[in-house]
Amino acid sequence: MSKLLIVKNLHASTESKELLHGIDLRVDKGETVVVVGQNGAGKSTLARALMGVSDYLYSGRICFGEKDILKEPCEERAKMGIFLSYQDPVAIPGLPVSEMLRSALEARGIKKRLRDFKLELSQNLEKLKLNPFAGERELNVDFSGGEKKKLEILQMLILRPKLVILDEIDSGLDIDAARLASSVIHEYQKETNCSLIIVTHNMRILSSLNVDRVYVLRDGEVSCVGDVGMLEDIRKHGFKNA
Amino acid sequence: MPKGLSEDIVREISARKKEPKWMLNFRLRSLRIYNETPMPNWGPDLSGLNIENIQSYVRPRKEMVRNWKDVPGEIRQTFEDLGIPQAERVGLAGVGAQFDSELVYHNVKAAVAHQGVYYDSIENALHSKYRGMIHRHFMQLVPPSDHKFAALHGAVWSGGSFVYVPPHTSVQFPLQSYFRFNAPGAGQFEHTLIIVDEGADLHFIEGCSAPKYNIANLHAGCVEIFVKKNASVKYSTVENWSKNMYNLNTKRAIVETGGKMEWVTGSFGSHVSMLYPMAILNGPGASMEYTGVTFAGEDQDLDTGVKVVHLAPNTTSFINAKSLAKDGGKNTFRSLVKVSGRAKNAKSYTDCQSLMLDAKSTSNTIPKFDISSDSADIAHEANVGKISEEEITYLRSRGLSESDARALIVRGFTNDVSKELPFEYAAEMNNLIRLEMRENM
Amino acid sequence: MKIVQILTPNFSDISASNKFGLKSGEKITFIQILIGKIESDFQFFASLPEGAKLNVQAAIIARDSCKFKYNYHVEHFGVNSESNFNLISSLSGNSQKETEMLIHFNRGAIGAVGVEKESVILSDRAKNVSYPIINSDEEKINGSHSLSSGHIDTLQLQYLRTRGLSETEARNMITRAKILSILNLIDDDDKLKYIQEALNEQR
Repeated sequence: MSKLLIVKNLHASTESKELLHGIDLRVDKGETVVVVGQNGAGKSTLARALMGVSDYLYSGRICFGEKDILKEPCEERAKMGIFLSYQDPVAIPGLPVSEMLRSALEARGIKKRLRDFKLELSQNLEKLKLNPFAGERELNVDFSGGEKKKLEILQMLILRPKLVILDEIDSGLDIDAARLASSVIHEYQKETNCSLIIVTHNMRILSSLNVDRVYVLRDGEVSCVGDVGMLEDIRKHGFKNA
Repeated sequence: MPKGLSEDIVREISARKKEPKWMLNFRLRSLRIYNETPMPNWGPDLSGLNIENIQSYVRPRKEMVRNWKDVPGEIRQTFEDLGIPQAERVGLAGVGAQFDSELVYHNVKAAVAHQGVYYDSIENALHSKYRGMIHRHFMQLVPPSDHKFAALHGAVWSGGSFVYVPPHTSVQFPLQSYFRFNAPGAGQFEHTLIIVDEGADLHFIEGCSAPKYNIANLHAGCVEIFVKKNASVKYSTVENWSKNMYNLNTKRAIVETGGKMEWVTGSFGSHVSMLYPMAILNGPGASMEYTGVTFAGEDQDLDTGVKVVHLAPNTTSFINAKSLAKDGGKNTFRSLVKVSGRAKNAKSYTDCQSLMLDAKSTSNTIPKFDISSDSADIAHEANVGKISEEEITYLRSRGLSESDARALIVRGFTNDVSKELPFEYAAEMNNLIRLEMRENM
Repeated sequence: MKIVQILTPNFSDISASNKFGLKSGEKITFIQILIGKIESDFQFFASLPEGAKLNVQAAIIARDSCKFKYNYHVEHFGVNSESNFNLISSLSGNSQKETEMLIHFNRGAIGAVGVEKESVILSDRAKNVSYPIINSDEEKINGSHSLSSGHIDTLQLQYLRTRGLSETEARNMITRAKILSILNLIDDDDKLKYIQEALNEQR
């Protein structure tokens, strides 16, 4: 198994409070790692810390491949192959989805012919059972909660990252949509051997995925690490044993 | 009686105070400007202010209230309701020198003197080693040419405080000025000049919540604050002038590099107000914060707001203005945010909320933005409306009566201001609000 | 009813005045694109009786030494009347704009809602003066206005950066999107072509 992401002793704090206290975490290529915990445990804080999107004070190490990316701005991390699916994606009126994606590809030095791009876009829209015209709509404007989440997955399929961080992807997706999303992600993983870090509450997204490791967060720390069996335990007994 | 002001009265004032020649000349120049300047052609109706007989406002008042029983009943009742001690009531009502403000004042002066802080009446300061400093700063920020009432002030100003805080000194407790109000001519044309030197900080509190009753019903005071490099000044006002007053005060600060100016204002009284505290952000990184609440009730036309001018890079301003109107009161929020081309990366954020508590009142917001910088980040939001029915219903479902629910919501609305004030002032302000709300229900 | 007005003053000073007296319950959407090069003075007035709904979406693209004056005035007379004004301006060169927006709620306009929203993007020599005014004589209303100048939503900026765009690329994209969000309301290809030509001409 080759290493992809190693997080060592990661601390995150605001001016007045420490939110993450020395997190250690590892994800190898092709692995699926799940992060669970009660509300306020620090799961989203961790997801956002890996993407580099919160203005907190960080210390420790985040090694992606051979490089420590702790000080890298988020656009550089994106170009290196890290992707964050947002819990609550923002709307940008006036910006068509397709235009944003083409520019993001160009930023990575990928220039596709318009025809090829449009074809790929429409195939992926169909895969996710999104409206075929969704690509021309303004980013997240008047999209339902479920559509917004599917759009995040669409972006993942087009941008082809190596490490996909899903921050509560299943909240806002009904049972069928969650199953579909899970199988699409699984297919992408099989095709590219990407790694997944999944922050979740209700685990519906895991239906098609093989979980390699589970981290339980409590009060900003990793309280325990286990395998898929631990998820079952939590489902039955809550977090008191974890 | 000649129209306008005569030179004689201005000379009389200056002679009585034994002022240096430059001050007399300054007064005379202001007088000329006053007589040439027209009344403002915008804002509330000032016709009730007997401007033709302005002389009568300025002469030492022979008709000053002599007896406690001559003070209007509602004023006396408010003192009772607010729990103002007997001795203070008398002083505040302008009944004479029974309240020994001089003693209190003396103690405050002594307490800060050991820090090197100078705090005295402006009249005394003009005869002290600070007279040169005063000469260099007096009415430089608010020149007589600024508007008619600035010119009037320049001609007949009387009373007020001068404060100088030396570099890197943090004044240990807030300086207050309320007990100065029974001094002759005070409470009308007082001038406050505050200079806070590099790296120092000061909190100054003006006024108090008790209604200040004055037969002569014009207040045209002036406050000038010089915030030097990296200094920090907070100026808090809770004003509750009696409801016959025209409150036309001018307050202005100039803030140098890295300095910070904070205005905290609770405006409750007067018949008509025109109040726009202002800050000029003159050096990189200078900042201003304004937190204010204005409550306009029956027969009140309160035109208040704030002005800020960004002249240097990386300057910031935050404005949080709240206003309430009831019983036919009229509330106008007027502001100016001006950002010059030199103010690169300036930031300004304004949040202005107006609540109307009944169908008889009027609320206006008239902001103005003049932006010439491409890298400035300016945002402004304003909302005008009534108390949300949802909030009232929620509180009623927890057992409160409708009027208690409304009072509680109003308290919450004004919380941003009360939490910036020292405890006693916050308590007084909350009492005032309670009284204002009660009158309606 | 939807009305689209495209004004591209090129060769003469232009003074355009739009007055709308809506009927009870009538809904009007007014889309206005103003591409300017010299002095222009625009007036817009609407009176809103009971149930009338007005939606004005306007984009001003000012170039060179253009001077725009825009005066928007809405009187709410009727119960549950609604007005929404969204103005997005891009000022380049040493263009200047002065906007006065006035919403007045008359007594009796119970339940009326009036919204003014302005967003301005400036170049380093341009100047913008705005007066977003709300007057109300009626308490059971909701009036709001917001102004942003040079302000880029940090969440939007962050989102695009997490997709690999640099800060500059993201800012430019968001700025263009603001104007496009108005242009996209015009679903008439001929008109869009006309606008595109006017924009190119004035480059």
